[in-house]
Formats: sequence, C-alpha cells, structure tokens
Amino acid sequence: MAMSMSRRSKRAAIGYLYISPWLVGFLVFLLGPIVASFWLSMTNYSVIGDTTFVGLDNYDYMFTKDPLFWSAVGKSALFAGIVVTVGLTGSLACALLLDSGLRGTTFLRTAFFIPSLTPVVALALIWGLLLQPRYGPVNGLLYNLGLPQPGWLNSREWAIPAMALIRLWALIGGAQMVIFLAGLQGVPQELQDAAKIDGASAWRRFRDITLPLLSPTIFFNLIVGVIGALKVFALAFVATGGGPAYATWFYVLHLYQEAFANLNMGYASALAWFFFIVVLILTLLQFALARGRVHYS
Amino acid sequence: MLTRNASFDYRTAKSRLDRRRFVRNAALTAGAVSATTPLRLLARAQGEPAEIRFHTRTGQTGEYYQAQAEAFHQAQDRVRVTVELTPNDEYNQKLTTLLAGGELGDCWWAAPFYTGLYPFASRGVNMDLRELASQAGEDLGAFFPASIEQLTVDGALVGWPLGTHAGWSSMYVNLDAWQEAGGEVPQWEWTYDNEWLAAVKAAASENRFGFAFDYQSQAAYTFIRSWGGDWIDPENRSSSLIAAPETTAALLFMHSLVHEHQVSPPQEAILPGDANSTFVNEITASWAHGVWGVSSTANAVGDKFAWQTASMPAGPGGAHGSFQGIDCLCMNAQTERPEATFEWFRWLTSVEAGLAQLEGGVPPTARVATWDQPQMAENPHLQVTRQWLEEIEPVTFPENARVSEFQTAINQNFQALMLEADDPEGAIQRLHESVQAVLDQPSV
Amino acid sequence: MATIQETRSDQFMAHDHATRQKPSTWYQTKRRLARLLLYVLAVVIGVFFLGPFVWAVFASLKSPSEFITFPPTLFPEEYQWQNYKDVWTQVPFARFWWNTIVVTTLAVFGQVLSATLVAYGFARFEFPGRGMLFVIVIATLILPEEVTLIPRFILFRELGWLDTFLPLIVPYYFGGSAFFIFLLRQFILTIPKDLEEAAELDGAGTFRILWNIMVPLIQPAMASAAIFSFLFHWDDFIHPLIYLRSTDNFTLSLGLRLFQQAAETGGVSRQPLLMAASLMVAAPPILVFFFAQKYFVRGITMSGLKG
Repeated sequence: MAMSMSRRSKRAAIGYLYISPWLVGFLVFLLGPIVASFWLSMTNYSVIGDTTFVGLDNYDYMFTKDPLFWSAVGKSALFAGIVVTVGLTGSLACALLLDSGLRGTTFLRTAFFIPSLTPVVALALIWGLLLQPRYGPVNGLLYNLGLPQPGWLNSREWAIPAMALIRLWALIGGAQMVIFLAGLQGVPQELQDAAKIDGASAWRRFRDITLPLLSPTIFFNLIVGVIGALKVFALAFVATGGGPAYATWFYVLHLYQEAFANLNMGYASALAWFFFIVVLILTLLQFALARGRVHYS
Repeated sequence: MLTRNASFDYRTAKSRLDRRRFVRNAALTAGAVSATTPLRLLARAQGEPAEIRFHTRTGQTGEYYQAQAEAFHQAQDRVRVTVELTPNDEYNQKLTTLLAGGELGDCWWAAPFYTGLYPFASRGVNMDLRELASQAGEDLGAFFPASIEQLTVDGALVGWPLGTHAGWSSMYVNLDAWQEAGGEVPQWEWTYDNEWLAAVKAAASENRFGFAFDYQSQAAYTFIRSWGGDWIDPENRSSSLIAAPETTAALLFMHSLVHEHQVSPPQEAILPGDANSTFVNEITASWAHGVWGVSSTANAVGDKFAWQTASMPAGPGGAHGSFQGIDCLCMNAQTERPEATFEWFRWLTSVEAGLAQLEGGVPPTARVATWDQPQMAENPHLQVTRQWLEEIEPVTFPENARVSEFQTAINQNFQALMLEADDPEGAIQRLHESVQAVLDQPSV
Repeated sequence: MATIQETRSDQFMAHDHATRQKPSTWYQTKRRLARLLLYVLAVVIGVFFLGPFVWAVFASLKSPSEFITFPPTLFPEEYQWQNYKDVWTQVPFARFWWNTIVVTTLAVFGQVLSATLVAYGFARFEFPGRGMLFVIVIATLILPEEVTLIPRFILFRELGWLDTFLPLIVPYYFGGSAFFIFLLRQFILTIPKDLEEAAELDGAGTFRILWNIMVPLIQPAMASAAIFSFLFHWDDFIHPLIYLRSTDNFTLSLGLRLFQQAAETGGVSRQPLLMAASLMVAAPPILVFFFAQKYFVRGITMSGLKG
C-alpha cells in the first residue's frame, strides 16, 4: 500500500516534470497575453488614448447592436460545416486510396500534398483567375459540359461555396490526410488479412477494423479541423476582402477589422472571447461524445 | 483642354523602373538641390547622423522610397533613414501594433483611408507640422490648396502633402474600340446624359462593355460629386447624405449603367487582380480610374491597342465633381528627431523627387510648381488630372475619424446595390442606414 | 520505398496463387475491375490537386500582361525564364532563404522535441489536474491570436527580442504548441502499454522507455509532426510580420510580399514574380515531403516486424 502510494506520487512528479516545458511556456508566453485580452474585452481599449472599464458593454453591443455580428457567426458556421464534413471525408478517402498499395503511390502522395504548400497570396491569385465566372477556365469547362456556371467569388450565393472549394483544395491532401496515413499504420495488416479470409466485404472490414482503430486520429482531425475552419480569415482577407456585399464577412475577419482597421481593440477582444467560449464548449462536447466511441489501445 | 489626338504615345514610352539608373539620377538632382536650397540643419548635425525610421508599404512604392533614401544618404550625412516595409494588406495592423507597443517609428506614409492619418491624428499621434514647415521656410501655398485643406484637422497640419490625384476622374479610353464605333473621344464639356452615354452605348458591342467602373466606394464618390452630392454632410461630417436626392441620383445612374443600359459589366464580368485588367483585356472600351494607373496600364496594354485618358464628364449640375486624393507623410509627435525627419519630408517632396515619383508607383506630386516642369506639362494623361485639380474639393471624411468602417460600409453596400437588379432604392436606403450607423459611433 | 513495393507485390503474388487454386474467374475480374477503378479515381483526384498547381507553374513563366490575359491560356506565349532570376535580384531573396532556414531548423527541433516530452507526460502519467491542464492545452488552440498579438508584442519588447529571431524560435521549445502535443498524445494513446510495463519491470527509467520504446513506435507520428512543424515555420507569416522590422531579417513568407503591390500603385505588375517566388518557396517543402514520406507511411519498420 505504502509502496504503491509512493510509486504513484513519484510517477505524478515525473509526469509534471515531462509537461513542465509546456507549463513554463504557458505561464511565460501565453498566460499573460490571454489574461490581458480577457481584461481588455471589458474595456474600451483602442490602442491610443484612455482605457476605461466598461463591464459587459462590449458583449451587450455584440449581441444586441452590432449589425454584422450574427451574420458573421452564420457565415463562419456555414463555411466550417462544408469544410469539416467534406474535408474530413475527402482526406480519409484519399488516405485510404493512397494506402491501398497502388503503383506510383509515392508520386500520388506528393501530388495530393502539394496544394497545401501554396502560400495564401498565391492561392487567391490562382483561384481568382480560375474561377472568374464569365471568362475563367473552370466555368469554360462547365459550359462545354453543358453544366450551369456559378458566379463563384463574384456572387453572393456562391461566394462561400467557392471559398470552401479553394480551402478544400489546399486542405484535403494536406496535414489531415497525412495524419490519417500515419494513423492507418496502427491498423495491423494481419487483422485485415484474417478478415478477408473470413470473407468480410471491403466495407465491413473498413467499418469493423479500420474505423475503430483509426478513431483517435479521426477525433484529432475533427477537433483541430473544426477549430481551424471556424477561424477562417486569411483567405477571405486576401481573396475577397469580405465581399461581395458582405458575402464572405466571416467572424474572425470581422474581429480583425474591429481590432486593426477600426481600432476597437476592446470590442475585438470581446468578440474573441465569445468565440473562445463557444468553440471551447463545442470542443468539450466533442470530447464527451467521443468517450466510448474513440478506441485507444 | 484635352487634345483629341494626344501625341504622347505610351507604346514607345514603356517605362520600367530601372532602380540603379533612378538612384543615380536622383543623386545627381540631389546635388543640385543642396546647392540651391539651403537645407536647415539640426543641432545634432555636427556629430553622429540622426537615425530615423520610416514606415511604408511593399511593392514598387517601397522600392521607390528605398531608392530615395539611398540618394538622400549620398546627398548629405546628417540624417540616415531606415525604410521599414510592410505589405499593404497588413499595413494598418503593423502600424497599430507598433503604436500600441510604443515602437512606432519617426514617420510613415499615409492616405485618408488608412489608420495612420485621421484615426491616429484624432488621438494626437501625428505631429502638427506647421511649425516645422515655417522654421524650414516651406510655403504651404506651394501645394494644391485642397491638399493642405485635406490634411488639416482642427487647425493642425497632420500630414505633409506628397502625392495628389483627382479621384476616379480619368477615363481610360481604348481608342481602337472607340473609333471603330465611330465615337468621339470624351471632351471636358460633355455631360453624362447627353454625349457621354450615347458614346458609351455606341462603343459597347456584343463582346465588349462600353464603360467599366470599380465596385468600390471611391469610384462611386466621383459620380456622387459630379451630381453635386456628397456621402457625408460636409457641414457637420456626421450625417449621411446617401439618401439625399443628388447622391441617390448618382448611385441610380451607376446602377442603370449595369442593369438598364447594360453598358457596364456586372459583378460577374469583373476580372480579378489589378483593377485595370478588365480594360487591358478589352472587355470594356473605357474605364474610370485615376491618374495613378497610367503607368501600370501602359505596361499591361503594351501594344495591344491604342489608348489615352480623357476626363470623366460633368454631372447634371454642371459640376465635374470628384475629390482630392492625397498621399502624405506623417510624423510621430513623440519623435526625438523632428527636424531630421522633416528634412526627409522635404527631400521627398522636392520638385526633383516629384518628377521621379511618377515612375515610382506614387501619385503625382501635390507641389504645383512641379506640374509646370516639361516632364509633367507635356504628359497628356497628367493634364487630364491637372484640369481637375484646379477645381476639386477635399474628401469629406467622418467627424469621428472612423474612416475604415466607413469605407467598408460603403464598399460592401455599394456592391449590394450593384447586385440588386430590382430594388435599387431599397439597396440605397440600406447603404444610407449603414453609413449613418458608422457616423453615429463615438470618435475613434 | 523499394522494400515496401516488393513486400506488397510479394503479398499479391501469394494471394494470386491462393486464388488461382480456386477456379473463380468472376472473383478475379471483380478484383481487377475494383483495382482499375481505384487507379482511375487516383488519377482524377490527382488532376484536381495538381491541375491548378501546374497552371501556376506556367503562369509564373508569363509576362505581366499575359498573366492577366483573359481567357487565360495554359502555356505562355513566350517563356519568361528571367522571372526566376528577377526574384533573386530584385529583392534580397538569398538572405530570406538563409533566415528562413535558420528559424525553421531551430524551431522544428525544439518543437518536436518538447512536444514529444509533454505528450508523453500527458498520455502516460497520472497526476492531479491532468484533465484540466489538458483542456487548457486544447483551449490555447481556440482563442483567436489577433487579440493576444499586442500583449505578446509588448512582452517580447520587454524581453528585448524585437527584430530578432528569438520570438520565432524560443517559445516553441516550451511545449511546442498545442497542436503537436495533442497530435502526439493521440498516437501514444494507441500504443499498448505491455512493452513499457515489461521494460519498467526490468528497471528501465521513464526516459529510457520513452527513447527506446515509445519513440520508435510513434516514429510515423513524429515524422508527420516534424513535417507540419517544418511547414508551419516555413510558411509562418503573422509572427515575422509583427516581430521583424529590418528587411534583412525578413523570412521568405514575408519577403514574398515585397512583390505584392497595393492595387492603386503604378508601375509594372509583378504578379508573375510573386508566383515564381511562391513556387520557389514551396519547392523545399515539396522535396522534404517527397523524401520524408517513407517515415510516416507503412514502411521499413512494419515490414521488418512482419518478417
């Protein structure tokens, strides 16, 4: 008993030792700025001039007066919805494809991965030209195939889907797919082979063997993917500036404009903290739902 | 008055900024300047040179200032300038962060819709330059009056006039397309409702629009001013005039160009990238833009077709309208080296620098005398602007200095108006309300 | 790579032998068809991913006016090879490369090392407050950076680190950021504990267990973490933008923007140069990925275990 107690506390101490680099880094580099931004969210801080405490006024303005707030929430949610669902499925499908032992896989893997290396300015430049509704090659192709040609980034209805398309192009074969590939290694070939001999169909092998064993990686990609997609900013900032007619005025773009263009840094902090709380709840919810569904060793 | 057959041919005058040649020339003129103008020296001049930091944007404009700094260093050894470059998109963010961290440099480039001018000035970040100017013997009357007016906030001169333009007042005309249609090149005396619309309609064909404008607040402002309207009441600068009859009429006219007359490209026909590509690709026979686009258009068109710039016509009220655009140099009120910094300002705004600036991706100088130099006087594209500069008013900007919010509200709602086929009045009303909402906010 | 291919084809041959004994040609045809379908799918997806990229490569060889010519053509009228030369002469590109290599190398090393330690601590040790601390790790991923930028700028000013590479390197030695801790933790959790327990009974210390048992087992995950870390630092834009001041200290992602013009400024458009520079900046990550991929896909280790 005494043995195990001291062993346990010794292991706890070692555990703290292992996480201590993060703990130190968190305390030194992260905690201060985080606390500062929380405090600023309850002030009228505007970088210059006097800063006064305004309590929850910023939050009140956010929910009741800011004309762009709710639409920005909706737009980011819609974008994230498309990107997370299509992105996760696409990445998983690509990873499985690359794991199925095709010839030339080395080349294919690189080909799939390349788009994720494109700097965002180049991304906006390339796709802006490709997706030009009237004269661009994508709609040219659709025209030749007898399909309707959307207005893409130049129209209100299609701006978010177009933005999602660009994002997905750079996302599907990127980090997510590579993480799935790494995860697929944890799926022992013996199990697959055994199931195959038992006559299990490809779908059943996927559902009963691959999917459960892959669940920790799926879970990781889901959590990180949701956060990343909800934070969409740079692409809209560079490619559309939030337009046309606020069609791509996403939440973090709104926050950025408030912070650095309008100098409403206090209000921007409040926007950030609302985002933080909502997404944290969403994340914890995913953790709770994952319990029992994600299979570790 | 604009001559119809301009002799200035941009096909042959292809200019590519040759940095080395430019620096050499700038240095040569620098010698001439210091020989003729007694530069006022600072107390520190005898010892170490004063080090100053200057913020500006990347791209060719950034290289222009770097070359000027080199030339400045060759010409004197009292002041050394470090040019710090930031991409245009993140320029506001960078300056704001530097300011918040107490690391803002001695001076920076600014323009009316950038954070570095009115928002900073409203908080006293910008030095009032009047005293330095009078110490240095600079006469403010040497600049276009509207530019000084534009840079004066509550009696303080918060920026030093560097470049100027007359808004989206130059009409870039594809001469081949225009003459094919038998149209006359627009004249100063033309009005929108008479000759202009007829000519634009004639120039439009099945695969080509007649006239394009940017879906952008300042392009709209040119029309608004021509109709005798404004976007903000210039008296109090805090009530929106979008719903006023003149402004509404101007916006409805722009709307009708797209939807009723179908001579202007709708949103989906507008090309990405540099705004001039719609014109360069001959998707439109003419295009409203500013004088600053002349060199990039010249380079992009090459010898695809002949073109020239004309003046946008007068509005129904007979006014040409538009507005004074300005690029300026701002000084940090906290700087410990105001005289040294002002030396740099004077260097950049000399007659010689004003001539060099034409090639450097900066709008032409605000110094009147420079416009009389042959390089400028003989350039027909500049003469279009010169004519405007004589009569235009400054930009009316919000009293609360919320320039960026204001511009976003106009840009986005103007795009909405242009996308709205059936109810332009409703879209204008929404534009009006969103502008008023910005103006109702407390000062920055 | 060769090993994998050989192992694989051996398996298939073995399989083929097995099936050949059963006279089921329908089964074979079905398998072949499925395989063919996979190839077709791979090619289609490959075109979707590579198409725009190939287009960008040709676009980088166009003249400024052809770059914006509509409708765009794939091949340049006249190949502007000097675009690639101009990138090096018009800005201090070589200097940006050196800076980026220094920053990336040092940061990746610290990030992977410290994230592995921390992830191991979270995955394998019970200590009071572990759940809460892990939630905090994840939480640091969520708060938008935009609002902590100014406080952090002030922090680094107080440390005297502005316009140096330190803010771009040192913080990553302290835990290496939440993404990597979370990633590696997930992978460590999938590893059965038996090996470690056996080693512990033999008297091995925790660090030896981590180094000798865990690291080889999570090597694929560490390799992917290293790649992502490399990409993150290679492409990082916002931090160099805020903390660096002198052009000579710029990294590539920031230096790239020297080719970007504000729409209203004149002169020659440099979009093809921006494209050429972007492609050159993307080239090392492509090469790194190409040659490092064997470490995170079913590779030598696995085949070795099997044999």
